[in-house]
Amino acid sequence: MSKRQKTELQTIKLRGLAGALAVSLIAGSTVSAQAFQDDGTIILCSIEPLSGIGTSFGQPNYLGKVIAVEEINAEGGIEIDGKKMKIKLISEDDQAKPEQGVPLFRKCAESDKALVITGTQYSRVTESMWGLLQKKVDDPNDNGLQVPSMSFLSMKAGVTGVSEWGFRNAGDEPAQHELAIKLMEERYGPFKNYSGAVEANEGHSVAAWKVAYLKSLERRNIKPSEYVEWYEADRDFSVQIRKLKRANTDFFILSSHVQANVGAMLEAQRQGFKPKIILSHIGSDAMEMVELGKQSTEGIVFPTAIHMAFPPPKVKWLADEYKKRTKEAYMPQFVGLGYEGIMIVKQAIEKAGIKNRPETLAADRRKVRDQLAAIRDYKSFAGMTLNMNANRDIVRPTYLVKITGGDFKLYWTPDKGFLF
Amino acid sequence: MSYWFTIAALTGVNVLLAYSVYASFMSGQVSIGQAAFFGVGAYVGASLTVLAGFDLMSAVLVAGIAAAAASVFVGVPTLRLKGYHFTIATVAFAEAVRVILHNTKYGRPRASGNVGDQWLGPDGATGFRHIGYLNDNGISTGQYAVIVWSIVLVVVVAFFLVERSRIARILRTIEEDEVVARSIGVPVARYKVIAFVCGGFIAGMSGALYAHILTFISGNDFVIHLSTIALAFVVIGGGQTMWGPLLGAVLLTVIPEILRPIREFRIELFGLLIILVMLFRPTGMISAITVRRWGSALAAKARAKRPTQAF
Amino acid sequence: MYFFAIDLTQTTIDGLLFGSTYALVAIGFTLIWGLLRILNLAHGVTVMVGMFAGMLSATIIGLPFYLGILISMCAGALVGFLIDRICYRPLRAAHELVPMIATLGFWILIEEVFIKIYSKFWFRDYVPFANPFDGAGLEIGQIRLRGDYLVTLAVATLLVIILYFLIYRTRLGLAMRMIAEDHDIGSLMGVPVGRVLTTAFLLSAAYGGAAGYLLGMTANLAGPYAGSQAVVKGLFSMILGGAGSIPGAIVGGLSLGVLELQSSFLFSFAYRDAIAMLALFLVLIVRPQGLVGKRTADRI
Repeated sequence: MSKRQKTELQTIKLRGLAGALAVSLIAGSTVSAQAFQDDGTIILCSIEPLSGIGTSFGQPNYLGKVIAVEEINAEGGIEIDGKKMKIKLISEDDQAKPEQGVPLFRKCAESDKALVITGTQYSRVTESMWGLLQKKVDDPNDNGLQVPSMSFLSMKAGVTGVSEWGFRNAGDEPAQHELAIKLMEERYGPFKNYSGAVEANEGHSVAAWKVAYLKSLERRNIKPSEYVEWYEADRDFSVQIRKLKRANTDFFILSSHVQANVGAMLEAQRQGFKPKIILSHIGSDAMEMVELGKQSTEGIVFPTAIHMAFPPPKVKWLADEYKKRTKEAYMPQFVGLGYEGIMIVKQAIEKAGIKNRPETLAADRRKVRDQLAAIRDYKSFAGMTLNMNANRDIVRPTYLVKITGGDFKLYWTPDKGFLF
Repeated sequence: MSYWFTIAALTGVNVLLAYSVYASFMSGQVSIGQAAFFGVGAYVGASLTVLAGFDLMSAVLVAGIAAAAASVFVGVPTLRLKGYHFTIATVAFAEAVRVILHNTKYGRPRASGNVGDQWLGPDGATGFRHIGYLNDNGISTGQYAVIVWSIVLVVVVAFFLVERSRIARILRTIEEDEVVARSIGVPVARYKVIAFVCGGFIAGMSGALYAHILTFISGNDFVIHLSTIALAFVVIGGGQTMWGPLLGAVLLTVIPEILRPIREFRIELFGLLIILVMLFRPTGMISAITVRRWGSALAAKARAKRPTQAF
Repeated sequence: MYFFAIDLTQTTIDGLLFGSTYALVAIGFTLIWGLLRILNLAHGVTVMVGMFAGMLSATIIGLPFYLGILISMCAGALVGFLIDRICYRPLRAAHELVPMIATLGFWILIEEVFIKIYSKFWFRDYVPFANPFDGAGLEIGQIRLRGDYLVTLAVATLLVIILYFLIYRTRLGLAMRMIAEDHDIGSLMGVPVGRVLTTAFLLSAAYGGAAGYLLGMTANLAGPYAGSQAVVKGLFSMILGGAGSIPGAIVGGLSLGVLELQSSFLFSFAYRDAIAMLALFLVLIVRPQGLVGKRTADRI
């Protein structure tokens, strides 16, 4: 083969490759749009950290959504214009990375033409995604995306401030902790030394400390006796725990997530640091706390949105459904929040009176957004009544859970008070 | 389409990042610390548009200069470090910068913020919110992709010209053997620092562009992994010519997106791809030989065409 | 003041003991570095596999500690064999960066595959790792030494002694030292370079596996990301002490442990890593060969 022929062959090869690439690009971007036009389905997008560091809450949350969508579709779907339409849940995995989440959010909004985007649940990614949205509704100078998005977690304070198209079903963290501190003081107080430990590399834990815990203490004119920090992946907590112990901490605020919590509490056990109260946040809601932490995590109290011991039979049903799919005996609150979130979106869609046709997409999205913003007295499957507040956070009653006897026991409820 | 425009913009950012590695790579200084300059650029660039009301282009430029200034702090003290010691020093520096960015707080209060959202500018570990320049100024994703790629184009052309100049030969000589370079009278130190600072400048611009795509950044975005991937762009694309970083960055950014339909296994395939490229093309996808061969083929074609055009 | 003096001593001792886990990870790194000048980015994979082999033997099967460590070392060595065959051996002639990037690919690939398998069995981020030495410890006056840390230090010391014996008392060690000086001279002298390097990979990975076991045990947990998290610290320890030097890896690991704990005790936790990294940066500039590394002969 002469040199000339060879180069020609190479060019052909190259052209073929480029062609294949182009075809796959076009195919990738049009498939979902066709699906939309064919079969009159309602397209919801789900963006979740299904792999990577957010898996522990992304997966349960996603399962909650799937269970809800399957239930709705089994009943025929959502009624639109007098006709039942099924939900199509397009699932994407952002790996808890913003550079994945940002293009995915655009894909859901523009290529998939999703009516509502549910997610994502990792605050750091949610903040970047919602930054793409129009900041204020009806602002003609702002060409941000206009699609309602609802996160079923993203606990970090202030996330919904990013855009008026963003909603959250996570509960009002400052209020939750204010209530928890008040209850603990009433029952076990007074306390001499309040100290805090914060997972400094995790936005939510830092924000929770600044906006919830610290503000509650300031209202009481209390300066924390000791304040320590650690990172999620740290392996040694001896210095921090010793400082807390030296400060004679009796009210210990643990603003941190599972891995560090387990390590820190085991170290506390070793050093004999036993505060009267340990108050933590949603980061403690994982089986690892008792499986790995064993005795050391006993007594940790944290607020919850939905607990599997709630009386409505539907909650029990959800826990069973979850167990069937994962073989997990304990259902963390993320599952319930995912399930409930889809049900809230469903009701908003029904009330919005949308057409669900390609040409009405923008108007439909706007109607659904307004319905989400106007949620009042929504009856949750878990038995409580929910309202959307002006900050677009769903306000829900706080329940407290306490780790007792190697289990997450419902500890305090608004109607019954302390259960034990 | 705007999904692909976003991918295009992110690809452009990665291409710039790859060139920032390549700039010093040419002189044999392998950096696994570009995340530091990328991060500095992101923070400076975003601060300028959000807090100081700069327009995007000047913000990007100033971010580049700031990052270049930061890179002097690595480039000069590490001059006498050889090979891997230099690489490791860049890693250490980048980690220190990450922690510092993570703890930085400046800016001003936001009047109308929700609870927990009352600060404009970087707020320590809470991060840097409201980088809304694109939405506020009606810049669509398509337009932004064009902006990013025009900067990429300028950088690529600059490298194209450098590669054909005496400078490139000098840098390659330094890479081959510093002693030889010094013996023929090359001011090695000056060339090395300038190459590294140019890399810092490009990384800074890239970071500023990235911050505006993400709209929210935090110090922990700029980890070692980012620097490693940036180096991987160059090594996989090919470190011998200026086409390597371009190809490497484009392919490694676009392929995981194309693989999205098989999303379960795309990261595995990505890892496998890296191994396979290294096994079958250790010089990177484009080596100097490939470029020479294609170059002469093009030249031959041009020669063959010229007479026909003449008639 | 009294408490301060006690806590200062306690923190230093904790740092030294804790640093021994860093040192163990660093030894695996430094072996490959010393011989091949390759940054084995896949070292975290051997640590992770060692950790899970240890978790299986200690928690699920309930084997005694010493058997568990051996199993972890074997499991790690298996991964080391793969790294050698896939990422290093075919690329021996290439630029040093090429195998390094290949190990990056290997790391991404194996970690992801492992996570897929892991999540089929556990719907968890972390699984428990039995720690028989937890709670045990030595009390010397006011100072307390953690039992599991002491065990880690003992194992690390034992492994280093074995390594020294291998390197300075056997033909294999002689061959390794020769190769470390110069590959070409080694092969000219009739050293089977390929085989010796494979052994080095096995050895390095076996040490990584042992480190994985001890890391899991001291934290009482095993997780698929724990390997990557630990490996960064191991890398820094190696450099701090002097890349390629075994005493360097130990000194580096122990100093990093002390540096970290002391900076969060004396100064501020927020800047703990920045302090450690700036120290590292300064060490590199002032003594590029590391705290105890040997100065490589300048060519002029």
